[in-house]
Amino acid sequence: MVDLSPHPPTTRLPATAFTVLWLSSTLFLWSCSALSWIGASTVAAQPVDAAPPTDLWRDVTGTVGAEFEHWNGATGEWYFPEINGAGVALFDFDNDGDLDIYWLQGSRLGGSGDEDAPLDRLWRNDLRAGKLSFSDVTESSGIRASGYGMAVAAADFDNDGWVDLYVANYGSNQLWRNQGLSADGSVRFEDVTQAWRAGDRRWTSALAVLDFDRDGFLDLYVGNYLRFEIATHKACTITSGQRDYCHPSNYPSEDDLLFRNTLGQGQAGFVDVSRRAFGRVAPTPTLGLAVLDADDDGLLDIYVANDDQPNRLWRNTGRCSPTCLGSEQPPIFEDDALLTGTAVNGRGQPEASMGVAPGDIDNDGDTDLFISHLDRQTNTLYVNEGGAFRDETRPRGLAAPSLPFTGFGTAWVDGDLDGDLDLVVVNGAVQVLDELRRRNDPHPFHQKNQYFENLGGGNFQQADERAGAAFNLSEVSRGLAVGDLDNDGDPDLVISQNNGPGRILIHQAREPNQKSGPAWLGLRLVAGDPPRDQLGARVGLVYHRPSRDRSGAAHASSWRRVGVDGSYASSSDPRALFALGSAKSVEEVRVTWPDGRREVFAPPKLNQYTTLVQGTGPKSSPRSPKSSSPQDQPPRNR
Amino acid sequence: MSPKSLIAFSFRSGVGTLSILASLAVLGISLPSAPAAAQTAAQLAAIPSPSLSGTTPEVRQSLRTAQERVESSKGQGGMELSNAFGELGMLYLHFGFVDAAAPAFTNAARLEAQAAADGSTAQGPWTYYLAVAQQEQGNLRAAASSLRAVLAQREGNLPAVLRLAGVLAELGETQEARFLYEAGLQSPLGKAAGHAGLGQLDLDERKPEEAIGHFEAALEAQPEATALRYRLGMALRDVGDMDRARELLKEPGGQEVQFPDPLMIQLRLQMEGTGHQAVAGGIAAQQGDLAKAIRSYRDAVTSQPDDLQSRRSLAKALTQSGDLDGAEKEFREIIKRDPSNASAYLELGSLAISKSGDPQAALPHLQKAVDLAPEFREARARLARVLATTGRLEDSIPHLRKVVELDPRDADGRLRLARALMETRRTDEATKEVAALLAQQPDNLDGILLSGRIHAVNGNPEAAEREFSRVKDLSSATRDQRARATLNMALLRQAQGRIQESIDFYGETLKISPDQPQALFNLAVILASNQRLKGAAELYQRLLRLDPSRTDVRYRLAVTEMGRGELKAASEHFEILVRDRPLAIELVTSSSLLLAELGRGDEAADRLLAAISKTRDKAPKARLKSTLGAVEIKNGHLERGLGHLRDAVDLAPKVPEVRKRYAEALAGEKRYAQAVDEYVAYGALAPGDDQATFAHATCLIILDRWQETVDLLSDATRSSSDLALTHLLARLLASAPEPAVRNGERAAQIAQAVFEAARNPAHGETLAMAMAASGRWQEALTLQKRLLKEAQDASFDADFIARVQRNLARYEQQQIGQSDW
Repeated sequence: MVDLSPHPPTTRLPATAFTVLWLSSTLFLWSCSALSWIGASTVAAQPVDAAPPTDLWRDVTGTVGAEFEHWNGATGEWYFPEINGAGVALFDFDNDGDLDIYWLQGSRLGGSGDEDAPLDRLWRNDLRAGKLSFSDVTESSGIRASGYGMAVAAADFDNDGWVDLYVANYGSNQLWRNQGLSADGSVRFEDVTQAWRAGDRRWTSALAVLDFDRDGFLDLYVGNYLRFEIATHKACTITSGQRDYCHPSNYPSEDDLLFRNTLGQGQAGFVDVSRRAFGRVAPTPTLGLAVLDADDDGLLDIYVANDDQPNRLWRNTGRCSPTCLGSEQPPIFEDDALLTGTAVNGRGQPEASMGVAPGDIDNDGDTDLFISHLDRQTNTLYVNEGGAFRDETRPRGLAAPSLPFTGFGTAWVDGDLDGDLDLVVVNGAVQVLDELRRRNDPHPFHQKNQYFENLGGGNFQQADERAGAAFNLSEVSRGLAVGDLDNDGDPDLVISQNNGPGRILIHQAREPNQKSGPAWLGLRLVAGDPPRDQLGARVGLVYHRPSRDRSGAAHASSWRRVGVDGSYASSSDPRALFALGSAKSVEEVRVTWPDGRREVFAPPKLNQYTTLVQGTGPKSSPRSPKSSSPQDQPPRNR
Repeated sequence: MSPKSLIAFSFRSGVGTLSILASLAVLGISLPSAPAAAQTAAQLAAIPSPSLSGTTPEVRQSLRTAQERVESSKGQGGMELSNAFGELGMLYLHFGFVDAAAPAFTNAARLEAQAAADGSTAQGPWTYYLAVAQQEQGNLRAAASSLRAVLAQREGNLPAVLRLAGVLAELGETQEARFLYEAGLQSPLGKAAGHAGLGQLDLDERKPEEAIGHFEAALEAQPEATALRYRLGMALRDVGDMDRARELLKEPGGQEVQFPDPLMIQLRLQMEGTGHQAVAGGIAAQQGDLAKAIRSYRDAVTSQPDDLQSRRSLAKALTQSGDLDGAEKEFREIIKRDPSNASAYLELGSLAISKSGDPQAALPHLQKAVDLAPEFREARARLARVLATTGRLEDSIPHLRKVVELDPRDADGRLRLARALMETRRTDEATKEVAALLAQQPDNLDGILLSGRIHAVNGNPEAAEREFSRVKDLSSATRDQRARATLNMALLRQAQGRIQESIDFYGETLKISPDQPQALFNLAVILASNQRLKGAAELYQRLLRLDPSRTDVRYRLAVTEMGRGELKAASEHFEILVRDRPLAIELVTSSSLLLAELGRGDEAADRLLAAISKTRDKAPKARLKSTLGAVEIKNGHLERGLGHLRDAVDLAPKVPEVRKRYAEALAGEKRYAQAVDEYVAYGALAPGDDQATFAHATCLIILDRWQETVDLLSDATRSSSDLALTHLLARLLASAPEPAVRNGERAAQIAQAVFEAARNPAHGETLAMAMAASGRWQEALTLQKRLLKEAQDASFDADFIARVQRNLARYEQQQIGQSDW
C-alpha cells in the first residue's frame, strides 16, 4: 500500500522565510508524530459523559481531574510485560477521610532510561460537600516511581497511622513509607525499599497484605510471574505465522516471596520466610492473590492464582516448628487447593487465572472465590461450602458469558444496593483479536467490561446495560479498584487500562439528583494507637428483612471482608460497605478480627461511615480460633 | 418414559448413529429440518478478510488459492461453491481466523442445503465445522443451533450428539445435555464421553454418589483419560471418602476424555497434508488449547519415546506455542532416532529462521533435507524460498525447476520459478513458465498478473495491460476479480511513477467496486500528495462513511482539509478525534492551533491551559506550553506567548518540536540572534530538517554572518538533496557581499546542477551569477539576456526584471552579480 503522508505546502523564499506559518510547521511535525499516536490508541472508546440517569455508574474521568493515560511503551518487539500492566490503588494517604488514587505507569522496555518518561501518579482527593475533584500531588509527595509498573498495595506497614505504598514493577519493586504530614502541610513519602529490605527485582504481578503471624504488623506476599529478560525475549507467532505476545509457557516461572514484617520486633524490616512457610515448592506464574479465611479457623490463608497452572490455596496451619506465633518462625502454610477444589476448574483443568475476587456471594458467612480467565475459558466461581469449594460457574450463570472475554480485574460490589454482592469483571485480551487486526486497530486487544447482577442466593445474570454506558466502552482494561470515592455509601469503580486512559466510574444511586437509595452502613475496622485498618477482618450485619412471601420478617445477614487485596494488580478501599436493601434496621454487627478474636457491636447509625475499634464492643471472645462458641460463629444461611 | 427406551440404536461405519429425533421431540428439543439455512435461495454471508500481515507465504498462498477457488466456483454454484467455501473455512479455522471461518462455513452449509433441496445427495461436514467455529468464538447458542441442524441432517451423529451435550451443559441446559449424554452411551465409542458428561452433571447437581459411578465407568472405558481422576476425586471428597480423594488428587493428570470426532481428525490431517509450516498440535490445539495439546503429546512420547509421529506433533505444538528451544530439542531427538529424517531437518530449518530471524541459518538444515531426500518437494521449495530471500535467486532456480519437475501441476512452484526467472532478468524463460502455468490454469490470477509484470518490465505496457484485460474479460471473472485486476494495474502504474494512469486505474477499480477500500485509500493518498486535495478529501469521506471508526482515515482527512484551507472542516474532524482522546497531546495541540486559526484563540488557550494543568510529565507538558505560546502570539499576546515558549524549552530542552517552535517565533519577531541559538540547539537534536536549516540560514544572512551560512548549508547539502538549500548555497557562493565567502567555480558547479534539476527563472538567474563570479562573462551575459527576454515576455514580477536588468549591466562591465539579500 502506498503511504504518502500529505502535509500542507509551505512557502520558502529567502527574504520572506518567516512568513512560514507556525501552524504549518507544527502540523508538519505532527504529521509524523500523530501516526505514532494513532499507533497507541484504542479506537472504539466513545464519550460517556451523557450517561442516562438510570445507569448504575457514570464515567466522570474527564470532569473530576485524576486523568491518567497509561503507556505500555510497546516497541513493536512484542515484549511480554507490555501487555500485562498495570494496576491502580485507592487509599487515604493524607488521612483526610477520603480515598486518593495512585496510577501505575509503564515505560519503554529495552532502551536506555528516559528522564522525561512518564511516571506513576498520585492524585489527592479534594472532596468537598460531596463534590469530587482531584489534584496531582506526585511531586510534592516525593514519590518518583519510574519503574515499569505492574501492581500496587497500600497498607500501613510501620503502624504509624499513615498508609504506605508498595509498588511492584517489572524490575525493582519500591516501598514508599508515608512520613505523614510535613511542616509545609504536604504529606511526603520516602523510599525505604533498601532500609526495610523489601526489594525484589523480579517481575512482580500481584501483592497481598496480611498479618499472618498475628504480631500486629502487616506482612507482605509478593506474587512473581515469569523470568522474562529482554536479552532472551522470544519471538512468538500464532498458527498463521503472525507475531503475537507469547504464551507464558515460553518462560520459566518465578518464585513468590513471603515477607515477614519484623518492624514489630525492632528489626530492620522485612525478612523472606517463603521457604520456612511453604517448604520447597516449584515456582508458578502468579498473576492474582487474595487473602481469606478459607476454612473459617480464624487464621488468614492466601489464595494464589496462576497463569495456566493449578492455583494454590496456602492454608495457614497456625503451626510451626519448633515454636510458632510470636516467635521468629513463621507459621507453616500447606497447599490445600486440590482437595478444597480451588486448584483447577470443576473439569480438572488448570486455567489462565488473572484476577481474584473473594467475597461472600450467598451471605452464608464464608468467603467464596471468583477467578477471571482467558477467553475461550470460562471465568470460575468457587463457592465455599464449609471450607470445601465447588465450581459453581455454570449453574450460577457465569460460564457462557465469559467465554469471549479475557478477564483481569474483578470485584464483588453491591451494584444494585439490594444487600447481596454483584460482580464486575474488566476485560482486555492478551493476544491480538483477529477482528480488530482486520480493522487495522492499533491496539487490537480491547473488549467490553461486564457486570453481573446477583439475583439472590448467588445466582447471576449479565446486566451490562444496567451498569451503564461506561460498560459499552471497548478498552484494554487491567486493574480494577473498588472504593467509595465520594463517601456517599455506594461503591465506585476505578479501572486502569493497558495503553489507554484510566476510568473513574461513580455510582449514581446517591448522587444529588437521586437521593432515594436504600439505607447503608459504612464501617472502618481499626485497632491500635494510632488506629490502623485491620486487613483480613470479617464483618457481618445481622438485621431483619421483610420476607418475600409476606409471612413476616426473617433474620438475615451480610458479610464483608476487610482487605486491599484481590482483583488484579490493584489495591482497594479497606472499608466495608453494606447496602441494606429492603431491610430498615440492623440488629448487631459481628466482627472477626485478624487475630482471631470475635466481637459484637451495637448497630451504628445508618447512612454514614462509623469506625469500629477493636476491644470496644460490648461482647468479645477470646483469641483462640479453635475455642469459639457456636454463637460467635457467623450465621449460616444455608 | 426414559430416553433410552425411545432410542433405536444402530451402529455403522465406526460411528454411532442413533434415531433420537422422536426422543428429542418428547423432551421439547426442536431440531431444524435442515441446516441453519434451509432456504430456497441461499443468501451468502460476507466473509471478513483477516489481516494477513505477518503470516507465512504458505498461509497466504493457501488462503489465496482457496479464495480463488471460491471466486471461480461462483459461476457454478451448488455443491462446488459449497465445498469451496467449506475448504476456505477449514483453512481459516486451522489458522485461527475463526471470525472468518464461521461465515465461510455458514455459506458452505447454506449452499449445501440449497443443493440438497435441488436433489443433491451430498452431506458435507460444513454445519459441523460451523458449530466448532462458533464454539471457538464463544458463541454457544449459535453452536448449539448448528449442532442441532447437523443432527437434523445426520440423524444420531455421535460427535454432534456429544458436542451438543457439552455445549448445552455449558449453557446450563442440563436436562437436554443429560439426555444427549445418555444417548451417547448407546455407542461403545461414546461410552467414556457419555459417562464423563453425566458424571459432571451429577457432580454439579450435588449427586456425588451418581457422579462417582459415572466417572468410574468412564475411566474404565478410557483409562488414559487422566483428567477424570480429578473429577472422581472431587466426587469422593463430597461423599467424605477423603483417603481415596487424596490419592486421586495427588496426580490428577490432564488427558481429557476423547470421543471419535472424524471430522476434526480429517481437518487436522488435511491441514498437515498440505505441508504448511505451521501445523496444528492436534485436536486440542485446534480447539485453542495449545498447552493441553503439548501435555498430551508429551505424555505420548514419554510412554513411547520412539513414536516419532507424536514427537513431531509435540515439536510442532511447541513451535506453535513459541517454545522454539523445546521444539528444536524434539526435532533433534527425532534425527537422533532416525538420522535420515529429512522432514525433521526441514523443520529445523524453519526453526532456525524463527530463532535467529536470519534465513541464512536455515540453509544447512534445508540443504541436508534435500541431500537426504532429493525428491522431497517441500524441502526443495523451502530451500528455494530461503535462497531467494537471501538474495541467491540464481541458486534457487534449479531447486524450483526440480519442484516443478516433481509435480508439474504445482502452480505455486511454477509461479515462484517464473518470478525468480523474471527477477534475474531471464524474462524469456519466465515468460515460458508463465505460459505453461496459464496453459494449465488459464484463470490463474497470479499467473496473469505476473505475465503482466513481465510485459511491463520488458517495456511493453500494452501487453501488460492486455494481460490485465484478460482477467477482466474472463467469462468466469467475478466483479471482485475484475476489480483486483484494475487495482493491480493501478499499483503497477503507481510503482512506475505513472501517477495519472494510476489514478485512472484506481478510478476504474472504483467504478467496478465503488467501495473497494484499498483503491479509495491509495487514490486519496495519491491525490493528496499531488495537492488534489478536494478529490482526496471526498475519498477519505467515502472511506469514513464505510467505516467511521477508522481514525487513520479521519486523521488524514483532517490534515487534507487543513491543506486545502478548509480549517473549519479540519477542526471538526480534530474535535471528534480529540473527544475520544482528550489526553492525546498531539490532538490537543493541533486542535487548539486550528481553533486559534479559526479566530477561537481564547477557546484554544483554555483548552491548552486545562491540558497543562492535568499533565505532569515534562515532555508532553512542554509541548502543550509551546503550543500555548504559539496560540498566545496568534491572539496578539506576544510577550506572554514568548514566555510560554521559553518555559517550554526550559521544561524539556531536549524536545525538538519545542525548540523549533521557539526558534521560529523568535525569528518571526525579528530576534534573529536568539533564533540562531535556538536553531543550533534544534539542529543538534533533529539534524536533517531542511526546512529548519533554511530558516536558520536565512537568520544568519539577515545577521550578515555569511561564512557561517555557507558552512551550515555546505554541511546540510552533504546529506540532503533539497533543491532550495542547494540553490541558496549556490546563490551565496556566487553573490555573497563578503568576498571571502564567494567561490565562483563551486557556485557554477552547484548552480548548473540545480538548473538542470529544475529549469526556472530563479535558478537561471543564480546560474548566470555563478558564471559571472567564475569569470565566464560571455556565458553569463547570454543567459542573462535570455532570462530578461523570457521574463519580459511572461510579464514577470517587476522587481525580478529590474534585478535582472541591473545585473545584466554589471556583467557587461565584468562585475559580479548582486542579490537582494
